[in-house]
Amino acid sequence: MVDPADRAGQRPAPSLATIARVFARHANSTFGGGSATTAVLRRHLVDRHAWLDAAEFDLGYALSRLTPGTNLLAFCTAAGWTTRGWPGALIALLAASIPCSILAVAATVFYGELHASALFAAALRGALAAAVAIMLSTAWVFAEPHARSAPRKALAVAPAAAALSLGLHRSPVEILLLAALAGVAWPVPPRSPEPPGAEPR
Amino acid sequence: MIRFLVLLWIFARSTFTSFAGLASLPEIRAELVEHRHWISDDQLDQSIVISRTTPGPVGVYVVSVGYMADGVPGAVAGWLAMAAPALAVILLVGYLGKRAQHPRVRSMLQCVVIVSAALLVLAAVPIGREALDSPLTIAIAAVALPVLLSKRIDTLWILGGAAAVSFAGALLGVA
Repeated sequence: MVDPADRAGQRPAPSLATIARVFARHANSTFGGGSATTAVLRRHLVDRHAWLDAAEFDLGYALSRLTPGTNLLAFCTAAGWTTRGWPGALIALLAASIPCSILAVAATVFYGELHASALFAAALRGALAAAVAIMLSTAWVFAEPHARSAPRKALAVAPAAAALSLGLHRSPVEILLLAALAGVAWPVPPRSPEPPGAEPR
Repeated sequence: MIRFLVLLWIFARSTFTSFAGLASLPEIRAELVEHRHWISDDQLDQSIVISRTTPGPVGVYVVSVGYMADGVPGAVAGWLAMAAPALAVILLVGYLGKRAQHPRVRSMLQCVVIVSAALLVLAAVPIGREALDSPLTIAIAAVALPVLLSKRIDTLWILGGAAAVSFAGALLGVA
């Protein structure tokens, strides 16, 4: 994820209204927590709009996991900052946090009515079942490129993380910090230079 | 106004020192349930249920807690405390973004993303135990997963379709 000032002219920058619309719609419409929502955002920010490339997405996602508070909002802020600098960051943060907050207040006000309704509960169970699928597909979409490019690392750190979580009951942030340290200690090999005559990518 | 400021201070102290949606819960419970008695344990449980049954991050539970403690001003305090820590990521991205091609930084990001994916699978287990409680919901998940991986349909349609199928199942007495 490069400095937004360095990106000027490299890619068309979306308007602030477009950033607000994309984050308001896609950061506030997915069940299953922040990571599932981040996966939905990946489709739109990387695949559909090309506001971020895959490396910028990974940087924002990884660092948002190491930021205090709500990881999803940190990710949206990072993505907005990369796309349009400080105004983009603030708009993305507001668009990602205000609609879900209003929904939370509305659900608090109508909690009794909603939870007394068997049909609402049934619809919610269906959405949560889909959210489980979203979470599993998210894990695959995020890990797959790295598992392909660094299979030994993936085979080492993923089971270690599971063991730390399930066996030693360490918190996610402790496990993520250990993963970051392991990554620093185990650098990726430098990229080999392009062979002469190779097509530029 | 005093109650708003106290709530803002309690929420901000909790969210700035936690690294995931519900990690701030013990601090908020200690202050608002045990120490000040502004909300009850039942209300705190309700706010967690609400955060899991509304779209978006589970960290939004602080907005619900704030509303229970002080109405709209409390909800605003919760929102401010939920949103403000996110700005810290800009410092990290600004610093590490310029070094993103360094082999050690690339490897660090690689490991964090892989481990995040592993933790996500583990987080899906309790939700799956709760949500996949009938043949219909199991079928919904089993159909949704390959559809999602094929990237052909927007997630909103998947969620809406799953809710509609489960709703129809309840109406027909299938679920």
